[in-house]
Amino acid sequence: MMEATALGAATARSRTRASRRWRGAAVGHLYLTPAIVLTGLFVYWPLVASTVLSFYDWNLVSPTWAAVGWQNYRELIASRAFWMSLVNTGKAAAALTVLTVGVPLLLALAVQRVGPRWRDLYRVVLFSPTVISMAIACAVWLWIFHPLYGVLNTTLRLVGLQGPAWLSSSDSAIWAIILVTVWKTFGFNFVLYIAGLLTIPREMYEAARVDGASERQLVWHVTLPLLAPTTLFVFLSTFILSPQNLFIPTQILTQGGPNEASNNVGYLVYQLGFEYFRVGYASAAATLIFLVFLVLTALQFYLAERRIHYGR
Amino acid sequence: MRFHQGTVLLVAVLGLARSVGAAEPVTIEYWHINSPTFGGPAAKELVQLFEAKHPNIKVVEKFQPGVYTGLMQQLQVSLAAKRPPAVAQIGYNLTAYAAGQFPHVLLDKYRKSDPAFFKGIPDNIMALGVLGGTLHGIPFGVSTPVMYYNADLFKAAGLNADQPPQTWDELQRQGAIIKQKTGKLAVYLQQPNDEWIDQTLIWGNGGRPLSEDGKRIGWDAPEAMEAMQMWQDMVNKSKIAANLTWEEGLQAFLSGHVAMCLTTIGRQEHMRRNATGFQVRAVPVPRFGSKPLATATGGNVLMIFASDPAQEKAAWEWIKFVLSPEGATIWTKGTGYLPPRAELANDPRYLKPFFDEAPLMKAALQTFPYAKPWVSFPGPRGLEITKILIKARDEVLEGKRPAELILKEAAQQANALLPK
Amino acid sequence: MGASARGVHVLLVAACLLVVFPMFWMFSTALKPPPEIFAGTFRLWPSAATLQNFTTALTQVPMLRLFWNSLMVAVVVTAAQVLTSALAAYACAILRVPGRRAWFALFVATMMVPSQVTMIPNYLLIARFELLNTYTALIVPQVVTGYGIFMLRQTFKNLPTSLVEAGILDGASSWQVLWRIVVPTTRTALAALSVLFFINTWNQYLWPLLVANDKYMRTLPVGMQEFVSLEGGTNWGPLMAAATMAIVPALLAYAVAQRYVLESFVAAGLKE
Repeated sequence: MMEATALGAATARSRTRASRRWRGAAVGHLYLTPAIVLTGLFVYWPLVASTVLSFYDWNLVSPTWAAVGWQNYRELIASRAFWMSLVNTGKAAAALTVLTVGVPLLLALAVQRVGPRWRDLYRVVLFSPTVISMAIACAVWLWIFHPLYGVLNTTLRLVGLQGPAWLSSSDSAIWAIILVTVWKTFGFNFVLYIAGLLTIPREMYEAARVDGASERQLVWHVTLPLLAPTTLFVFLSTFILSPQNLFIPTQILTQGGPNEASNNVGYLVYQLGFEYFRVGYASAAATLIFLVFLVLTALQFYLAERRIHYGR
Repeated sequence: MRFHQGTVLLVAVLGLARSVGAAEPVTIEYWHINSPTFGGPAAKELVQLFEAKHPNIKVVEKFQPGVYTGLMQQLQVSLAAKRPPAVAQIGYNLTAYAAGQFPHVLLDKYRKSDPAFFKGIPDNIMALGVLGGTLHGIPFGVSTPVMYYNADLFKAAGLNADQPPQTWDELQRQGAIIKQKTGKLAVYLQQPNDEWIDQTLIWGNGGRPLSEDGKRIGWDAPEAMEAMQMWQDMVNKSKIAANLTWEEGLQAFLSGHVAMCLTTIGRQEHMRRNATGFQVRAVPVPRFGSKPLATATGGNVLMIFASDPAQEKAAWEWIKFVLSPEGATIWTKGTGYLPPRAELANDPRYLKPFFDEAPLMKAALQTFPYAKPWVSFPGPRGLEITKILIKARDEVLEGKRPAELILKEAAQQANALLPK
Repeated sequence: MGASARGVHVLLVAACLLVVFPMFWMFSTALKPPPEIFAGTFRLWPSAATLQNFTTALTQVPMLRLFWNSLMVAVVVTAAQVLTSALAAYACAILRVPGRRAWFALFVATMMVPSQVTMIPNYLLIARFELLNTYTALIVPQVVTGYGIFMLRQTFKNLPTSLVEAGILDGASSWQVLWRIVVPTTRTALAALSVLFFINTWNQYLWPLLVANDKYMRTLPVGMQEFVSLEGGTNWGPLMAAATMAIVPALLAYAVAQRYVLESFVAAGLKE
């Protein structure tokens, strides 16, 4: 920081000249081109097509199709499946955000404190669930969840508790899915936190120690603030991706059941489009969900960006 | 003018010559759900034998994950891209939807051109591919539910393993004894992402899953409600039945935690191979008192989706082959499905030895004459009706509300979705 | 090393045990002969460990070919995703092109589009261009990811301005600044992102199932489904064996990234 000021002061004039040549130039747009083209072609074009489709009743195959105006949206808003899905997704997003943002941070900090050989081991082990495919993970958890002799209920029985029928009971189904999702996805954020921690310059810690800071104060006043951009990203991306992450466990373990108890927005779109083949209706759901998430995320982002200090 | 006419004539003659003398190889795709342990090798063997007999036809067999529902999904996107397979297995519960919504070839015309093929397939089996009077698909996989049971658990409970329950009343009685003496649950009725067993219960109790005119669901009829209430009570009141997802239930049976398991005969090989430390036996599913045995038939029809005439012809040849005595024998041995040609089961040249050596199959054979259709719901919303009924079943088994209420609501919603 | 260090170890060990149990179960099932898989009493380790499930998996399904397909796709997609993300994030965070906030929002918004929405139109597009069952189909639609752009923009924005300023002063072009200054400085983040992308692509299922369902073009997750059949019974032993074999490259990628990038950063001492 001090460096920047000194340099800056000494070369102010040449800096502005170069920056003007450099910044905001057309060349910047060149860098954006691959992203713009590919996103436009493979994400936004389908999104637009899908939104158009949401005003029709069609299964992509039938020679007959009908324009139905807002009918799909009206049906969606009146459907129990839609509201259950929203509620469940909300529950899941909240749980995921707490468990896969807070806990990996804690673990990353803990790993930071141990010796180098232990660190490697812990990092690999803690990251391992992320490595297997979600489908296989769910297949394995199917056994763990077994109400009669799965590990979960067997352990609970040891302490005198009666575990529920995890996947067949409407009270526990969504929590079973959340559990698997947490187990599977916390590793992503774990790695990001480790990377983030490694980029904090050692000098910061040393300077603070020289000032007499204790370990706890170091974490609170040096580590966490400097980790803030990573934390923000982790928080937002976990929130945004929660529907996607819930999808495969729902598909394999409960198919949204019993009786919509574990249905969520990611699975709902799939169900409407791929199980009922009502592509128009599914598109309406997808569009609505996209809008909801867009608004919520934008809100969070602007609120958060205001409070984070980037050091510029 | 003359030049034009000449050219046209020439082109026409050439074109005709090409199609008449053509022996161009045709490649067709055959989509199936046969995994390596469930008929996969049989499918490959069938392809080899067929191609040897028909050197002009190449069959590309493709396994589709996700069983019949998964296959339907892939089928839908491939139809949207105008590249469907020439022929595919369509589960019975999905047949009405496919027949109503996906472009395909109607097969009645082959009755006239290939009458010999149709002889030997019993009418009640052929009827499985007929909807609204038209033949849409040829029944290929035919399965019935059977009741597998753990002979060792029966003996441990002091019951006679040679006399498992034949009626639901007896099952509940014996089930209570098993629970009391061994602490294990007595029975599991499969709870998959379809309503096959539900329909079996309804047929068994004398009801109809769907009215004759296709306008009313049968789930709120007294017979249906009585059957489902019985199931609910077995889970929640007498607690002899397990409420588990399909995979969990099967695992529980195989690991000896549940004494009886009502599921498809298609699983018989898997049961035999994986039952740990106990003897698996099978009998037909229990009857309702003195009412006759009746079960829903599982499996699939073969439907032709090819639009090119050469491909259609090749697909029909394939269908004829896999349903021939030779083909059906390979198929049955590889899957545990029953042969649509019933007489093969007693023919020593074909399937008699297989059935003699596979005691579990006997239960299916005994059920075969009583097989009723697995009703697939008509109209563009038919698949949602299935989901409504599955949700109703799940709610019934959870037992928080009486079965009657749940079923009446479900029937109301379902009826609204049936075509008028 | 005092009580607090021990406390940290306790926490970590507990976390590890909780986390690793399902993986362990998967591995132990892969080693169990069929009769033991469904054994009523819960066994942690097979009494007669066998490799037969592995041989079954290798013979029933063309595992090597599936491996190769998955590897090809994962490597190319990872490289492409990191590259496009870095370029776009660079433009938004450092080059500060006009309209960058709007572009950035657009990119991030792609994360909110459910994949089921984009799958079918993309599939139809691929089919129309006769590109089904090709590597192109598996790779191209995924080359840009909002996640990567989002993450790298955060990282780039967090760089000290002095770095970039120094580059400009030296007369470096934007391209040179990117590759000579920004990328080396942020290589930890880039490595982490690469690992995540690799694993994501390695484990992908829905898209490869749609566009590459030919037997020899399938990727591992799709090919493994051959062991799963709710109708005839899932073949658990070979499935778990195949799954165990499938995680090797992904774990390797992580181990390599960890040792050679993350660790090297610490060992060499932080440069700025």
